[in-house]
Amino acid sequence: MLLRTVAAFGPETSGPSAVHSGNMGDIIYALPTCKALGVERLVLNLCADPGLSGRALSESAARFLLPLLEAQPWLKRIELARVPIRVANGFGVKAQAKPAAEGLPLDLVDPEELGVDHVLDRFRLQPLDHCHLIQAHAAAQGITVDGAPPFLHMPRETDTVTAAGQGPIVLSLTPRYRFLDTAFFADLLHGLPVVKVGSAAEAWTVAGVPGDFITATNALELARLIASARLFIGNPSLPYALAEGLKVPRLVDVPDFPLNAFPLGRNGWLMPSDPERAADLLHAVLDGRSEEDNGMPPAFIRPRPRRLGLRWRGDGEVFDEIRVLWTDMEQNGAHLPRPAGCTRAAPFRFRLARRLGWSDPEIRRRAADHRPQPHEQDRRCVLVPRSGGSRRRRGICDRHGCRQPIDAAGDDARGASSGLRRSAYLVHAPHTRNSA
Amino acid sequence: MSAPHLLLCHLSPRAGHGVLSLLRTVRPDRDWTLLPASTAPGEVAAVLARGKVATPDGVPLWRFDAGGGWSLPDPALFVPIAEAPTRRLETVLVVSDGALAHPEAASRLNGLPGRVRHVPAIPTPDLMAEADVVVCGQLETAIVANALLKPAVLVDGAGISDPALPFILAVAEPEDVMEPLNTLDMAALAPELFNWKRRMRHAAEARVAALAGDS
Repeated sequence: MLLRTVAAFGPETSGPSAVHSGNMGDIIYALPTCKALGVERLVLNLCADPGLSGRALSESAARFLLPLLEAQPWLKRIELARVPIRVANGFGVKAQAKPAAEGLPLDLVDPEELGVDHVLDRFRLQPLDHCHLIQAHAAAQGITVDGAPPFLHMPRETDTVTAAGQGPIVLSLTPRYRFLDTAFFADLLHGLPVVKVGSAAEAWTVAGVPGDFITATNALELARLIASARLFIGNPSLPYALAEGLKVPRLVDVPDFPLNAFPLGRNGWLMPSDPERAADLLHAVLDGRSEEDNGMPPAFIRPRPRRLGLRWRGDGEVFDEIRVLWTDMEQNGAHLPRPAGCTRAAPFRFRLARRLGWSDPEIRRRAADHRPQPHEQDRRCVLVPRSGGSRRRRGICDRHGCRQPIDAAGDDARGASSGLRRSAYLVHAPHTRNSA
Repeated sequence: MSAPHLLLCHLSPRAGHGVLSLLRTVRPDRDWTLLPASTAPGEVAAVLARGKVATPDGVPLWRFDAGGGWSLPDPALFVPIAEAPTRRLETVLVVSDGALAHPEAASRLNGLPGRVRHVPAIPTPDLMAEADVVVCGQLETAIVANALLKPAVLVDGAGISDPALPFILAVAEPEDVMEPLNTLDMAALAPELFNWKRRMRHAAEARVAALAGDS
């Protein structure tokens, strides 16, 4: 057998079995398929393949999930296992230090070789750019499942102090798979009772949003917290997968790519990118009015006025896709007048819809005004492609003369997976250096 | 499960399946079954139609038009389908049906943004799911696009959009397709389309539950 068991929990069973190699959220989305297949033994394959498809399921992550999986009444046995191999990438010291894979992803491995009936990793062979992860898991096994009903079972807890739906708003933001920035959520949630959840390493992603930050000790504890929330707000991640499984009222910020985790069934909404619309929806959900028609936003149907936005790139060019946060500028001196046609309150994003000629003195003046000032500690860096490729994941920051290396895979994946991908912005860990 | 509740369907097949999906959500305790309008069953629970049609004695008529009190979009919007929302405008699917059926009409669609794929008739949902925007000449194709959570541009000769279907942008001529495509902000549109469809679904479920309440 390829798989070697590391630990096992629950009694032996001869019932149907399946293996999954992560990530954690994907395992949650696989549960409706497991249940439909009658899976009684679930094997979690400990695997990390940063050099291949970027999945990671460490032993600590698997143990984090364990109490929640054990709470599912139809699941009798859970095993942690691994394929004892490491795959080198390249040569020399680098190949030794940074393997392309530890353990083996099982997408194309025959289940008989693994001693299981179903290889759930095959969901990755589905068109994940436009297929919900719940449906991708089912389709990979040749079945269909309904993702609308709740699919996570929560054991009754005697010492529960907060009834379902009575707790504070739970906010979870992770660096990848999102569209809106943290300032958007800080404005949206101002004055509301909020609890922020996440790992300590990702706490910076919710910095600036008021509320306590909680790191759960296991997924069951996290699920209990989410189940008690009046509302869950977040982006595709493990906490959102739990909210989806519990079908708590949820408001989700989805990325532009891949859009494969979104609410199914009742109580689930997508976060509008317009701050006013988002605030309206938030309060409607909190007041139980979310199913009422709130009128149609006409902004994307009517021809919109041209708006001017400029981004200084330092190389004498003005590009045609630009985003600016008005709040940043206004809080830092309001040195750029609001363009004609821009009528909304801050924060506001706008795009330049046409290429502008650099020879226009007005454009040059505005670009100079808009050049980031040293006191703008907004943690945004400008990515200058270094390693090529369409995803532009690595580069150096040329903001304020920073020259700090940016590795989207390490510091932040936002440049690779969010709507900011092509706008040449990256947000990485707190950007304190300011040599200008 | 009780005996089958037969529904005589004068709607389009997609609209009929949309109603069936709503009924199976609000009344899962019953075995709802659609029958084509051409059949003559002995006992039906209701007749589904758009407008007035003759019904057997004592059989209720469920109307899915404004005259029958249905102010919601065509029930085809609620057909069970694997939704595929999108926030980008990279692929445009041109369906050559209705007003776009003539080859000359399709050739007037110049300068569409992104990758453009032409198909001769209403494609499978899987193929539509790969597109970001659907350009078509038939209303039902556009409604299926909305069901998949894609906006649609409908070339219908009149160019008058239906307020009940705000994510179907109607234009009169093929040359006019570029105008709405140029003003679409897909990133802003996607959450609004998603939330609108959820609201319409909830309203439709409530309406159908009222219809099915005493059937």
